[in-house]
Amino acid sequence: MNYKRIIHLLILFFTVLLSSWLVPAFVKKLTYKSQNFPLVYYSSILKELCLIDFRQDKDYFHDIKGNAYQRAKYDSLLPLMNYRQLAMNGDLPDSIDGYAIDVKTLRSKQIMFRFRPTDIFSPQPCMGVLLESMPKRGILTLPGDYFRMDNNQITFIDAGSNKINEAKSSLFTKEMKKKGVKFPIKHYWGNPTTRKAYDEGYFFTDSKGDFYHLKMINDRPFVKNTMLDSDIKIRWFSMSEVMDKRFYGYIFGENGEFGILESTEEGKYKFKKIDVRNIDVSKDEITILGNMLYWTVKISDSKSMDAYGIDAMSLSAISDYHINKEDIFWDKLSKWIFPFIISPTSPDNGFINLYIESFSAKAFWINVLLALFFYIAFYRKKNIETKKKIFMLIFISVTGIIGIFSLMFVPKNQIL
Amino acid sequence: MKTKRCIAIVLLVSVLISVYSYINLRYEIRINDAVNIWYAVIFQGKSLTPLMMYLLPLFAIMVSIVQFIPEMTDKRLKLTLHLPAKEIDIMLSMLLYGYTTLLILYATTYFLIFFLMLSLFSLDIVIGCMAQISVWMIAGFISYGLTAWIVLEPKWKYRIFNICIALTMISVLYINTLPLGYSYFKSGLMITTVVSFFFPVYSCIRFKDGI
Repeated sequence: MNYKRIIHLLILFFTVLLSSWLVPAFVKKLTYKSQNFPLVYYSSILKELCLIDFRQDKDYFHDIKGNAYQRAKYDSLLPLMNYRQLAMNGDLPDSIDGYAIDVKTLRSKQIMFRFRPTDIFSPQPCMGVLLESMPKRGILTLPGDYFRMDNNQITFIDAGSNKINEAKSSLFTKEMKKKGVKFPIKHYWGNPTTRKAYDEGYFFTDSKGDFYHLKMINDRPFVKNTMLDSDIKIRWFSMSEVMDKRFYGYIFGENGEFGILESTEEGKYKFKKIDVRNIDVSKDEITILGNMLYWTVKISDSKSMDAYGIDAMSLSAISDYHINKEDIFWDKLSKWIFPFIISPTSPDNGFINLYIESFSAKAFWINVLLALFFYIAFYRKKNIETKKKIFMLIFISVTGIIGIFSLMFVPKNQIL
Repeated sequence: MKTKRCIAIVLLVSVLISVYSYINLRYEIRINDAVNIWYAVIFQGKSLTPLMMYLLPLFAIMVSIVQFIPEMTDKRLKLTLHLPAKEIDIMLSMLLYGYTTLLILYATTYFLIFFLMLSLFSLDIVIGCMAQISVWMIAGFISYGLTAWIVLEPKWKYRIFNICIALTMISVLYINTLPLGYSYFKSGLMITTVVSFFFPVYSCIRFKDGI
């Protein structure tokens, strides 16, 4: 094969690659209808998970057993979710399940957490910022320097002068090594914002896999081994400084465990598992809506959703619900007309790469029919070499509509 | 020789923009404090040289246009292709000139920005910035080859199709503007750059064949 044909094939190949991204994206834009899972919330009155989707059903919401409830009762049946509205109307109950409730307590116990795979699989910040955990004026401010974890020390760099703060770096490194930290640090996690009530610094895993807590108190280092390595191997940690200071954040284990890192009264750390199914951090999205009595944990991926009503104290599941995503028109259509859909982006990954969004064997049947049609209509009688006819048959059988679309863009050559 | 003026202008503009980016960042640091600018860069995806995002491929397109349009309008390419040499050799030598020119231009800009930014930010931040600029420079190399491919295409119908394909290809390099967003696509970028080098050869073949 001479270089002319090779270059022609290269152009054709790249056009097919780009078309297998663009053409399905365009057809999806024409046909796709939003297909979100309903809002799920555990009702402290009904003692059951409720499914709320007023776009589909304006006048009612349901529990997972199928019972319907009028929209007018939405606030009163979900008081811990709608406490603000109830308080405004003067309808907030004094107690639920024997627990006295007031707006201040409810606000302090509210939890909202969202995790997506892109939290892990996307470019991470190249440096961290260690805030002062006990600020003199009671408000969190940026300290003026940023740190990075080097091979054998933590290095603080002053932003104003762009110079290493040797004294601070040495002080913190010495304290870390004194507490048994083995460099290099594998990973560190924090919540680098001043828009929170308080700061708990960072957590990190050292080269041994031990999980440590690091913060700055009155400009001095606080380093403590959480001693969790016997309980769980940590895959990821999401820092979350909740209002009631009950826990530090959410732990994702190597084997799919998911739970919180609690602080104990003795100042120690404890991993408390949330009673849900195993998590696959590369696919699962997690949403937690929590209140003083119950948490609603929703775990979803591209195919289904699992929702759990969780007791807020014990974190054990008291209700669960599973629903599969229904195929909508776009799903059915794409399976028949696009044998493969390629995209440079993925909903579960923040990096650019070549992702195969879908692959469908069904579409190959349509492709074969298309190839035969084109052969009969255009190539059978023409004076074209047999090997070129075979190439076109195979090309259209493999690529289908995308291949035909691409051929329109590429000038005819001896191949056609 | 026809590209001499264009290259000089492009070099001057890229140096001026690099210096302007530095001056602008120094201004922002004076007004907003260095700690806040570092925060925006590290945690909020602020770019250190946003002007380079489209200027770098634009420079490449300009060099390609200035190099190849006269070949078509003044019918010089027709004469060149009558020389006793394969069209692929002729095209590759013309393209190599363009790519080498761009390489020198980009290398100058790269190192200038690197050292200017290093005076204001830590190496970690500057590495992220340079990774971001590298993607835009690769977009420039690809743009150069694809522009030549479009200009040398003899038929207007396929010129328009080539523009569509080229725009789609280059748009892939602008989906993610975060530093290191293309870390897992390095081989894809390299392959696309190499392949775009050969696309203009095809247009030249079609031109020579008189299609």
